[in-house]
Amino acid sequence: MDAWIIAIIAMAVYLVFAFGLGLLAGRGRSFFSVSEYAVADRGLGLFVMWFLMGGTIFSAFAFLGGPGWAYSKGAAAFYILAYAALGLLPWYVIGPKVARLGAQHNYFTMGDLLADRYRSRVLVVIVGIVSVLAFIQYLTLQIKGMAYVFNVLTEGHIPIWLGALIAYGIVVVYVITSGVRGAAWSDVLQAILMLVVAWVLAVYLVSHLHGGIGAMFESVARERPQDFLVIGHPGSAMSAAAYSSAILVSMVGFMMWPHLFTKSYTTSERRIKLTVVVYPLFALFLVPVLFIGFAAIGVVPPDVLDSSDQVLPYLITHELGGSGIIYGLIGAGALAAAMSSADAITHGASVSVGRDVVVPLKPNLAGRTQLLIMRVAVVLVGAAAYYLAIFGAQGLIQLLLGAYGSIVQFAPSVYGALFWRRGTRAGAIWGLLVGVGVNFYFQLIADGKPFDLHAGLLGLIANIVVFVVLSLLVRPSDEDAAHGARFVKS
Amino acid sequence: MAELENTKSGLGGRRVATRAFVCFIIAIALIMIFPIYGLGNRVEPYVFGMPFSMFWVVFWIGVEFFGVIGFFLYEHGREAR
Repeated sequence: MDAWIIAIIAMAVYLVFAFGLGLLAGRGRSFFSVSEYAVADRGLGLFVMWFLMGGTIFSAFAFLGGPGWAYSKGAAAFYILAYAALGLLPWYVIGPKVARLGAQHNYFTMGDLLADRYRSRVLVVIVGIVSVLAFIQYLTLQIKGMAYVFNVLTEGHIPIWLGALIAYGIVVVYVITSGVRGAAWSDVLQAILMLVVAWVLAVYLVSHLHGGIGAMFESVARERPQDFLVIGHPGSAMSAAAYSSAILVSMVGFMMWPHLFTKSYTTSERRIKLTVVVYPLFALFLVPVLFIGFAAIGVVPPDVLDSSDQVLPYLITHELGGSGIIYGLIGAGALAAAMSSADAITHGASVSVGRDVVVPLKPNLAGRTQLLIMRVAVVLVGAAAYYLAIFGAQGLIQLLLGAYGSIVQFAPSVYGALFWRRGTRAGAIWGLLVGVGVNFYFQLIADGKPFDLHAGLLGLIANIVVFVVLSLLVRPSDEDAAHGARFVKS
Repeated sequence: MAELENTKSGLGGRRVATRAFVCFIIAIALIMIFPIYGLGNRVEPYVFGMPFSMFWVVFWIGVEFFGVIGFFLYEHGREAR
């Protein structure tokens, strides 16, 4: 039998499993409860939480982009490790607080919390729109990843549009039927599968191509310029300021992704903290992913790749022989990486559309109507991302890129809500708008950035200044002060 | 019941623990970025085959892991499983 047929069978088996698990996860739960759909009635267990949050790190970006960075940029790829290790730490402090507030006041989204604290619908709608645009960009990346994997491993027999449609169609269906629980349970399967695949592949490639980690890096040092394995030297891929500020932005911004922030509402304080406790392990799990990229240096000539993201598929098709089983296994692992991120994002986007955009504009909607809107949003957001992934549209992609970098701009209002009594509505709204604007300008329009700092960090600085100054200008009434204090104390 | 007492008497202790944790987060973050990362930002010596610039990151992730376990046990270790 041809290798690509075995690969299709293996990937199909995986897809059936993921689909079945996603559907089964929602069985016996209320199909018509907003609370169940959005936050699993605040009852997700520890095991599921681990993989739900862990699966987030192992996206198509990590699986394809991680080796690509290591291969083409060297030490700059260590940023991925630092980002994974630091991103979740703030959750240990804010997660339990958000969970308590959420249970008391029945919040489902970040917007619910901000709306209550700053008593502003405008702020929530801005947050909702920026989130949905960023989600679509994020999804587009994952869908491209899925399509690409399908296409390469079936040797072109499954076209890009069909591969993406099958893999992502499955995600859409189980998110609609099973809500966050569907996403969570299929993530358990997906996270385990891709971890196993990443490790096996790394061990095999490193020993087969180089004979060991030490020998591999010695060969890297021979093959590449002297500064390849350090940051901020003249020949390095990244300057010290760019590297440091990217890590800082990731650390502040990671939990500001609404689909991650919302997970605070799905479980208890103890489970939140235990999830943070094991999270550094997920960062260490990424080490072999980078090894795959380093192993390719000196083996894969740079001019055969269109982009460095293709280094993993290239290694698989050229260095592992034509075994269909291996193609299929790796295909399933890579699909798992992309799908486990795509389901969480699709779900998050649907809840954001429902709760943060539609409900503030049209309050007093019945629970069932809200739920219907969220389920329709799954299809619409999915269709938009699918369209962009397959056909692209330059102008839109620019807009989405700007939104993607703007997520971190939610941080001042969110941290302000939890820890600062004096924050005001005007401060939060103008801070956010200025932050998004500055980020957009430096990310997309300006030619250079001051001191080579990350655009998100520049936006964040402007954002914080505006937020704090505008808030301090107004002396709060007793009622406002008490309202702010309620959030800080809880 | 035991849990209730724990939360009541532990409220002051919990605040101290949260402050200490915030300092811990900041310390780990500073170690990962410049200027402190400059100490680890070199190719040699190789440790476990990795260039020192990579070993530095991996090593401190390990320290972070045990640090977070320590915090969790301090705050919740006495609670019944």
